[in-house]
Amino acid sequence: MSQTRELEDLELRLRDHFRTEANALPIVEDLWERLSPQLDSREDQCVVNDGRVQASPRKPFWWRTGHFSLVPLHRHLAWVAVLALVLGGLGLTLLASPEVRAQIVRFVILMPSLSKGPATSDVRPNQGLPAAPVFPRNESGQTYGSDLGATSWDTVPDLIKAIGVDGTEGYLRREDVYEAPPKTPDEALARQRSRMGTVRQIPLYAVDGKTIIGVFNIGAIQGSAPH
Amino acid sequence: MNEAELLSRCRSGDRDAFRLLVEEHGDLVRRTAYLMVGDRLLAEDLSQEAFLLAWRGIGTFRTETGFKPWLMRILTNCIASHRRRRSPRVLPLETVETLEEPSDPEPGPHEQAERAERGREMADALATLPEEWSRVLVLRYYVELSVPEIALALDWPEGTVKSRLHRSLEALRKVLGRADEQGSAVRRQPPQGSLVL
Repeated sequence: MSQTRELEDLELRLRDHFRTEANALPIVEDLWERLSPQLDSREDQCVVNDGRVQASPRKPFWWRTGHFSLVPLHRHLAWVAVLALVLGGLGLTLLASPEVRAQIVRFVILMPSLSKGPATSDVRPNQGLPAAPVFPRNESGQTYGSDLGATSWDTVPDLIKAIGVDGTEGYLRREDVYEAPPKTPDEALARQRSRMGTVRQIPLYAVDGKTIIGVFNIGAIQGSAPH
Repeated sequence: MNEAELLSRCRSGDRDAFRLLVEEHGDLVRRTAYLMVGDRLLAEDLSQEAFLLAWRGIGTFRTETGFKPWLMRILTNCIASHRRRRSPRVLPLETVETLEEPSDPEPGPHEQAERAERGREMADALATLPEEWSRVLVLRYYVELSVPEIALALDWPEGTVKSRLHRSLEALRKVLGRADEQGSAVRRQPPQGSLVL
């Protein structure tokens, strides 16, 4: 048998084989019915990419150049607040609740191996997190300091340490940084979309929590971040 | 309504248009996933995930690339992601027993046995190939994509697609050739108890 004929026979046989195997899968009538409710489902996880939050189904926690996924963002916490975290030269703005950010800190900053290439890991909330720091208080009794170690709302200081747009070091009021949480994922996404590309300016205070000493931009890559 | 119009409507958020696309391509995606992963439930999950990603990424779809290769690219990415998360490979052996051909007339017992044997041989031969070679074969001979479309679906250069197609066919041919030789040798042996004159 010539080689061409042999190849044609093999191709025919492959087609026949694949068709036979594929036909073993029963026809599904309700694919759309199963798929349809998921089209609007965005509560599982989100992707934070260059400061933009997008929904993504069942993505693992993994890291790639220019792409960053968070999982599993809990329904009630995922969209709770806005927080700017700039990672050095990457210029990546992450928007997340304190709980989620604590995970980010743990997995991205405290685990340098993650930055070396794709990696997977199950992220379990509040598991193995460092203990929340004890903050000093100012004359008004407000706690102040960095909230990077915060693992919940209760462990975020009243005044969050930050650097203003002009390099001035100061503090942000917690309520300015963390807005009232959205009630639904859709509301969170709508809020996110409405702010896409916009910058929200909030005052930068001295440690007394009263004197305004500068401005802090939320949503800007070029500005600054709580630290 | 043609596919380009459907896609255009999908891009503006028209779910009914997307439904038509799912109905058009759903079975192909499910069955392709099944051929690639060899597990029914997993194939269902991965095909659903592929459609979800397609819906959410429909804005990035470029008409000139063709919807089917684009969809296959999403599917193969889903499968690759799943492999990275899970491993090890599940071989599609469970279906070789199933030989239903609804459009064909009912084959006789001898033909059924022969086809079952050939199916088993092919499944065994495919299992010897690297996974990505098998994917190329599925995309070429089941999904019927052209070489440029496979290149798009797998994000490989066309030359790579051609060489892997060639090498996988060559490898299959050798494995199947050996199987045929062994089968012939067995058939040449005289049945027990008979006289050889």
